[in-house]
Amino acid sequence: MARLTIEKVLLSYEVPLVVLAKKTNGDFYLGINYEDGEVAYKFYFSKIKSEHLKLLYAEKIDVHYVITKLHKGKYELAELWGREGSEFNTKSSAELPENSLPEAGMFIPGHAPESLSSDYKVVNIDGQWEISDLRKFADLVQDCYSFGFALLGAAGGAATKKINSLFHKHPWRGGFSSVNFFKELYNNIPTEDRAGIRKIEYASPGEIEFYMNGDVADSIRELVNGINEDKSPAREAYKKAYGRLQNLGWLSKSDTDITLSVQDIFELTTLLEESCKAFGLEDHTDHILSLASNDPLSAVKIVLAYFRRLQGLADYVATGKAQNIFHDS
Amino acid sequence: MMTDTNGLDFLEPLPESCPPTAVVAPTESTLWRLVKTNAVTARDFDSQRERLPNREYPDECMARSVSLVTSLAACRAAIKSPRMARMKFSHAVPVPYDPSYGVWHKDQPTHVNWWPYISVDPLSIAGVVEQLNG
Repeated sequence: MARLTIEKVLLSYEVPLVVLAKKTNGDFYLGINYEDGEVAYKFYFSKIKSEHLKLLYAEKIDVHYVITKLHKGKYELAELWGREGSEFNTKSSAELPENSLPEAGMFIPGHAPESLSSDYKVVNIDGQWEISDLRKFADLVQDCYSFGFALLGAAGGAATKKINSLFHKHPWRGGFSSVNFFKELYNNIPTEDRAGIRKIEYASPGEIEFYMNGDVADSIRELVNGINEDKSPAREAYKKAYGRLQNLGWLSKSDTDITLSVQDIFELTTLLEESCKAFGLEDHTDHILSLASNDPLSAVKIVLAYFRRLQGLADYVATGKAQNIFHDS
Repeated sequence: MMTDTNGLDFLEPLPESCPPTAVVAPTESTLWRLVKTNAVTARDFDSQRERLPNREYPDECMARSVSLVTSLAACRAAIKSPRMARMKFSHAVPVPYDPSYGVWHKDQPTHVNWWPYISVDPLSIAGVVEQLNG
């Protein structure tokens, strides 16, 4: 038995259909109205973790998944009207009542936190796309978006701290798998600010419509277009910086592996400033340096890593498979 | 616009102090009503009280409102709930939000209660029916 209070109604039509209830210890329960009772409505409740509640609100998981795959322990049953603020006692049950599961695909709209800075941005697509293109293009967009989001400092306080600490933790050595770094970087972007796909139309030309931070998308568009310009200063700066680190044998080294002299630090700082200027990131040089714990070697590597991903997107634009990248819808 | 709630100015008789005076107007221009076929009739806009007069309701005023949702996504979610799945709703009909059609109260992010004025024929203002499972 448990004592629960209805926190809010998540979905209703004539009657509350899905509710969120809370126990006095702070645990959340998802409640499903499955039929009429003698007086009120019969509900069953399944405990739900806060992290899963966020996924439910973001429509990343459906109610069926919460009730079946994420459920642990017993279900709680009660008869109630489902009004917000009402308190009630439940009866525990190991089994769900018969025919009481929601159908698959029951996503609850209307509860995702809204981003104040996201816009609809469109990429036109053309030519022949293979499945691998979708994966590769999506990975590049996500990586560039994560990086751009961090570099522009677009997140709020807590998220920014987490994102910054990731850069500090990363050793920035060559050959190190960056997959987890980018994955973690993306996961630390607040859910409402993550880049989402709103529409895909495959035609000639077709389009992919994204919902994403407008400033980050605009920044990526400008950088990508800059890379594809004739005699692009960004490409030249990348070659110069990469070549210099290669010649010094520092691509696979971090600042803990080598002792940088005052002259080295000066040269690396100059290289960083030149690269940032060429990439159109001159306003973010100090921020990038702080992300790298004021180590100019790591800072240059951060900028180079960002460039490589932007180059990947730029190649899609250069071949014509992606056009007019991240324009307003 | 009629604001008197004496139970005579609305499509269905309403109890005292109904509709409520403190209402939240929807921000959506179109709202949706669930229906079972693409042939909509006036009965599809009956309130719960009209349809099931002998049932007990926690709030008589709400029971006499026409329930609407704010999007087709909300319609699709609602019909997948175990309670609603048994009712076999398969379509939704759009209702344009217009303050001159009655009193509207958005009580949840995706749900609106509508008390139509007696001068309004819901069937005549409803739009083209959409299939939900297609």
